Amino acid sequence: MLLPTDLHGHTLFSDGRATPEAYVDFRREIGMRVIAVADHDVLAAVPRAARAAADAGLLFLPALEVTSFLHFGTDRAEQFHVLAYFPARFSMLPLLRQTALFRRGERVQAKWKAFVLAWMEGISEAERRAIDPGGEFEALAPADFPALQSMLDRIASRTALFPAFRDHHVRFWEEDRELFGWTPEEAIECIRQDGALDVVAHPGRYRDKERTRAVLLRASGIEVYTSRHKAEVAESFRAFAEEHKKCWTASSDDHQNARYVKPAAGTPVSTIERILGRALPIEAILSA
Amino acid sequence: MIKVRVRKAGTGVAAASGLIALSGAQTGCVAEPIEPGEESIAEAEDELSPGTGTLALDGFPGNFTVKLVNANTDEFLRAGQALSLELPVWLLWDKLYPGSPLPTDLARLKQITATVTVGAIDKATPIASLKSPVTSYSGADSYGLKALTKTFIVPSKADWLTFALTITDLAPAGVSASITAAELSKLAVFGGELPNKSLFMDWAQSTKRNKIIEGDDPIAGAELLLAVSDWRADVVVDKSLIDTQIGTAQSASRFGWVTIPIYGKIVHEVAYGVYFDDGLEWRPEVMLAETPNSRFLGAGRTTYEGKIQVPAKARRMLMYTHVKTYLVADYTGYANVTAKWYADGEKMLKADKYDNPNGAFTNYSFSISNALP
Repeated sequence: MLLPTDLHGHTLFSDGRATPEAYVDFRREIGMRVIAVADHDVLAAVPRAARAAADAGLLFLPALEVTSFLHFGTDRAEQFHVLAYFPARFSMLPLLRQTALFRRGERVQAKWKAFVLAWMEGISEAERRAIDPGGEFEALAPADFPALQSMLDRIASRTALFPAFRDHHVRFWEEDRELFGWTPEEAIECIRQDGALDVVAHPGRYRDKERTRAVLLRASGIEVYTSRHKAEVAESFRAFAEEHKKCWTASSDDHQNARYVKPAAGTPVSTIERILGRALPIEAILSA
Repeated sequence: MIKVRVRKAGTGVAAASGLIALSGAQTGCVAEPIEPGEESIAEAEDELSPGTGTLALDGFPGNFTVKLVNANTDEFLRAGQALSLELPVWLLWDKLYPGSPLPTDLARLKQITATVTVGAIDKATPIASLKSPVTSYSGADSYGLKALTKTFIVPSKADWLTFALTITDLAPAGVSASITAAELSKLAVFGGELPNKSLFMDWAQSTKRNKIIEGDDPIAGAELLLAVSDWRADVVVDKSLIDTQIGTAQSASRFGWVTIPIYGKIVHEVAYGVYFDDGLEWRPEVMLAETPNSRFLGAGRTTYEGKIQVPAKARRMLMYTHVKTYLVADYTGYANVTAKWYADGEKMLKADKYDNPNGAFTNYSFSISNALP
C-alpha cells in the first residue's frame, strides 16, 4: 500500500522560495497525505510547517537534508545528502531542540551569517548598502538571517555581484570540515542517534557509484521517486530497495524554481510506520 | 457529564454549572444544565446541543494558537458549550525559561501552573471575562504532560472567545510570564444569534459536507448565513488540474541563472441559486461575498458568504452553488520576467461548474422548521 507523499522539498529557510505555509498548502491541494519539509541542514521551518499541516489535516514529519561529503577536501569531493525523518512528535520545539541535528542546524545558520558578512566586507560600500539597505544584517539573529535563496535573490536583484557570490558561496560547504566534512556513514550514525530514520537522497545523482552503493547498503532507506531521477532510474532504485529490504520514499525535491514534478508513485505505509515508530491508523491508510 | 441546552429567555444571567465568572453579561439566551434522564434521547437529538469539548494551547513562542481538539460535537464552538483547556507544560516551561532544557521530573513540572482568562465578545463588545485556572495534570512523560483547567461555559451571546494566559512557577516564587490575548488567536462562536443559523458547505475528510452549524433545520422567517469554503470551491472545479502558469522569469539559483515558471493567482466567484416552496419560482443566482480570514475557518482561509432570508411560509429549500474560476495574471514580485503569456491583470475563465449533489440539475434539499424546538 502506497501513500501519496512528498517527503523532500525546500522552503525559504534554505534554497527554496516558498514559505512553510505555502509549501504545505500546495501539497494539500494536489492530494498529498503525508508531507515533510527537508531543508538543507536546518530544521527551522518545522514548527510553522507542522502547524500548517495540522490545519490541513496532513500527517507531517519533521525532516532535514543533511549535507555530507564523499572525498572531502580532495579534487573528487562531492556533496552527498542524507535525509533524516523524525517521528511527528518532534514537531514540538523543545524536543526538536534537544536533537544533535537541530543544534548542528543552529551552528550552520550562525556560520552562514558569518560567511555572508565576511564576504560583504570585501565589496564596495554602495553594494553593501544595496544588499542591506537598513544596515540590519549584523544585528539579526542567525535564525532570522536571509538563507541561501533569499540572499541570492537579494544580491541578484540589487547588484551585479551574483556571479561572484555564486562562485564564492560553494566554499561555505567545501571549506568547513567541522560542519560538512563528515562522511555519509557518519551522518547516518548521527541521524540514528537522534532517533530519526536515515534515507539517502536522490542516489542517482552522485558521481562515485561504488561509494554510493556502499552507502545505500548501510542506509535504512532510499529516496526512489524524485524529480532528480528519470523513470527507469527510479525503478532500478526501487528494485534495489526491495531486494535489500530497505525503506523507500517518494518525493519531489521541489525548490520552487521549476515546474512541480509530482512523484510517480507513493511511499509505502511501512516506511511511514518505521519513521513514526508505530502503526498508522487504518482509517488514515484507507482515506489515502 | 453535563448536558447543556440553549434556550431563549427574556431575562436572567447565565447560571450554568462550571461557569467560573461572568461579569457584565447581557441578558437573553442562557445556558442551563439538564439533569441526566430528564428528556429522551430522541428529543435531545432534536434540539440544539452545544456539547462539551477541550481546547488546547498549541504552537511555539511567538506563534501560539488555541484550538478545539476534542469535542463530542464537531470542530465548531457553540454558545452554551462546556469547555476546558489543556496546556502543554513544555510550552509553559518554555515561556518561563526560554531555551532551558525541560526537566524530566514530573513533580517539578507540576509546579508550573496557569490561569486562562477567557474573554467573550458579542459584536465587537466584550460581554464577559471568565477565569479558568489549572486544576489538574495528565500525562506520563515530560513532553506529554498537560495542565488541565477548570471547565467553563461559553456565554450564550458570544460571537467570539479570546484567551490570555498567566503562567506561574510555584517553585521559585514570583517567576511568572504571560501570553496576552493579542498573541493568541480568537475563536468564533456559533449559536448566539438563534433563530438565525449558518449553512456551511465545505470539503472535509474527502467528502462534501453541508452542515447547519447550529443544528437541525433552517428556521422559517429567519436568516440563514450561507458559507462556502475555499476548499469546497477548489474541489468543485478541480483546481489541481488547472494550469496556473502565466509566464517565465529568469531567477538566481545556486546553480546559476535559471528560468522559473511564474504562476498566476486563482480566484473563485461563487454564487448560489435557491428555491423555496412558497409559491415563487427559483430566485435569480446571487453572488456570495469573498470573505478572507473566515469566521468559519480561521486566519488564512476564505469563505464565500451571503445571507438567505428564509420565507415565513417555507417548509423546504432547494439550492445549488455555481463556481466560476479565473486565473489572474499578476507578474509583480518577479524582477526579470522573460515571457508574459497574458497581459498584466488579465483574468481568464478557467472553469465554470455547478455544485450539485447528484449531477446536473439536482439540488441540495433542506427541510425548514417553523420555529426553534
